[in-house]
Amino acid sequence: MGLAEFFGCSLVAFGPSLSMFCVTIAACPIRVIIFITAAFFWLVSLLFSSIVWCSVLEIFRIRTSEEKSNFVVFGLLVAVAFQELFRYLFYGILRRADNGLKKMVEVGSTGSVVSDSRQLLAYVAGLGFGTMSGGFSLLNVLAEIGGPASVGYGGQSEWFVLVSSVTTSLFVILNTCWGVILFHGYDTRDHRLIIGAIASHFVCSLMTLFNKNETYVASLLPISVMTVVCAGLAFHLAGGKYRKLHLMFKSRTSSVSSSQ
Amino acid sequence: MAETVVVRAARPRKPQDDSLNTTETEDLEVGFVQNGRHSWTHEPPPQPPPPNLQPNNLNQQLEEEELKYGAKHVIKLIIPVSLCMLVVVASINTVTSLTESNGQYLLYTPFHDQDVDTRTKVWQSFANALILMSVIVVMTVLLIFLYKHRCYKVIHGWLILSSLLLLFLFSYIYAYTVLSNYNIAVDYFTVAMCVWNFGMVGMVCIHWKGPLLLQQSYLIVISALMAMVFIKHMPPFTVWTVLGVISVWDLIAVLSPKGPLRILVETAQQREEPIFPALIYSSAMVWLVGMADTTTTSDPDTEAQNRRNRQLSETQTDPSTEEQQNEPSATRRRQAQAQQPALTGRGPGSDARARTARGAHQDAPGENARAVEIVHQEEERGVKLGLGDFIFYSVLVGKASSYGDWNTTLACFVAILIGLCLTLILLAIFRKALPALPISIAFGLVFYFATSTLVQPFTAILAQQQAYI
Repeated sequence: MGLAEFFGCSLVAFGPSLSMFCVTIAACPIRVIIFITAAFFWLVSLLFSSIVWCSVLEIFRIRTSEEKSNFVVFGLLVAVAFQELFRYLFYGILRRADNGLKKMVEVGSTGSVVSDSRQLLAYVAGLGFGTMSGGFSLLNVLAEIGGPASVGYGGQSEWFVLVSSVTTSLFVILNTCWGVILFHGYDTRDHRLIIGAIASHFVCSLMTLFNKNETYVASLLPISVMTVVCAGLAFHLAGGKYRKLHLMFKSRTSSVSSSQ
Repeated sequence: MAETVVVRAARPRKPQDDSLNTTETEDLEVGFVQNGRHSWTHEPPPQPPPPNLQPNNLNQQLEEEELKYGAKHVIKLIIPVSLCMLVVVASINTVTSLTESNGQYLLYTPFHDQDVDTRTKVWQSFANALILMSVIVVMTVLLIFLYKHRCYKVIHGWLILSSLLLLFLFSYIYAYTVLSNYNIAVDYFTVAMCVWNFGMVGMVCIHWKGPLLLQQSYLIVISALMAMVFIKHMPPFTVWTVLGVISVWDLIAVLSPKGPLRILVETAQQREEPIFPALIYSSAMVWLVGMADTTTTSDPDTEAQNRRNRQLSETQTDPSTEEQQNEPSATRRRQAQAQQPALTGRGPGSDARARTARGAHQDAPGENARAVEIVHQEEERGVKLGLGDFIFYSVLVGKASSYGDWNTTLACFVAILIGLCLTLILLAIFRKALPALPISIAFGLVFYFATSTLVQPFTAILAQQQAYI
């Protein structure tokens, strides 16, 4: 049971990102490097937010877990802010290294010149952020449930693990979309896009606070809606055409080169 | 054993440029290809190149080739390093007895009291690390001494003995631990057969010849086994000090002018022979003595390379033009190359030429100086990474994972890979053997301690409340 749950949940959580990685990233060395670098940037952002969180706990002398759990809102806001800050920094670095990277991307992909490398970079960076954040939120839970006989997690709801996996999966996709939207916003200096994406990150993260009271519908539903909206927006911004998407689903056999 | 830490640059392949035809090329440099290496027969003095060579275009092509090449090499090292770490982490987390030392410790770490106060633990771990490191230093110096005096038989015997030990004894112990962990009964005869076959194929692949993939996987397995031995038989806190001390030693050994590993690399390049395959993971074929003939160029890549081998010169004009300004790194690289003539394995004549090139670059803005730059075909393709790097990377990640926190493991993994990428970028800039441990291990250590003390409480409470950031 434990093993089945483990595999099921890990595939629910990381299936989408794994397949995206295999299909779009793994073949090209330079994308893998950017992916890892993005993951590292996310890691550094988490490190900074933990430093802030720990020092604030220390300053206000918060010791008990009860008080700590009331303080989670603060940590969450700080973490999201740091993530967005580091996403911007990563964007700056990528743009600075743009010339070299463009050459790399063009030369690196076997023979074919990548026409629109900016969207590609944004997508890879977003996926790196998302995968790392998903890994950090779920890996320990997964390691726990792999063991003998575990349905819930530490005496919590039986839906705990499943909801965690689904939310992780949604957050990976959301992060990818935010990457595309924000990079496009920074490129075109479109303030509405930037503010919208960052605000949606804050909203999604705050929504997950409902999970504490096991009101899972209240968190999962808005996040799913947000994911669909963000995915549509990212698809539109990346230059995707809905007609082609329609065609793709219509004729499965034909190889499609439209999206991304 | 192999604490060797050598990363060696693949020098860029010459771009094929039709404007550079063979007439100018051949009177500059005559080389011939033999078994994947080339040797220089004769080097006439440099001649000023014709001015209409479109250096911009040429440089751009060169840069592109370099970038492409660099990215591929990074991946070619990231995959084996990740595999090695994966083997170690998977073994440690599924077989618990691999981390319990049961009171058996390495001979070199005599202090291993577990129930003493922190101060004693700290100085004991430092004492352990220093003892272990002095053993390593002595061994390395011994190896260099033997290598300098061409005692190849002794070195080969030594290396064969150590890989024999690893492939047979340690793999047997590993199999025993895994089998007893899963409570699987296997008779000794079967185990002996398996271990014998495994070990013999490994010996043949590593020390003689075999498919590249098989050789690489055996090297990865050896490193993983060695890393597990370190993790199991070192006192908990000593591991961290050993990692720190080793990376400092690595820095000294590779970079200081009299560092043993540097001497090893330089001597090997002077003698135009590969470093022992049992010490180094190579992303491309290591050419052994008596290797099957390499002229069967069914591989178009090799053919192209051979063709390029014959066009062995790149000429470059007038550094005062625009193109110099947007390529500071290339200039630096050339200067670094010029300062390191011994490392590039050229003949003595090229030293002077390199100096000319450097001088020309420095005097460039004022006058119409011309520089001749020779970019050599790499003697062996591919990047090399010492097995010691594999071992200590895996020790770090494995030890981090043995405490049961996956976030820490993931953080260390990403940090080490980033460190490796940075080292390879530095390699592309400096073009000489670089230590691969310091940056990665420093990142790994920082992220291990930061994650386990600062990040872990934060993420634990987030995961518990299912709050997502």
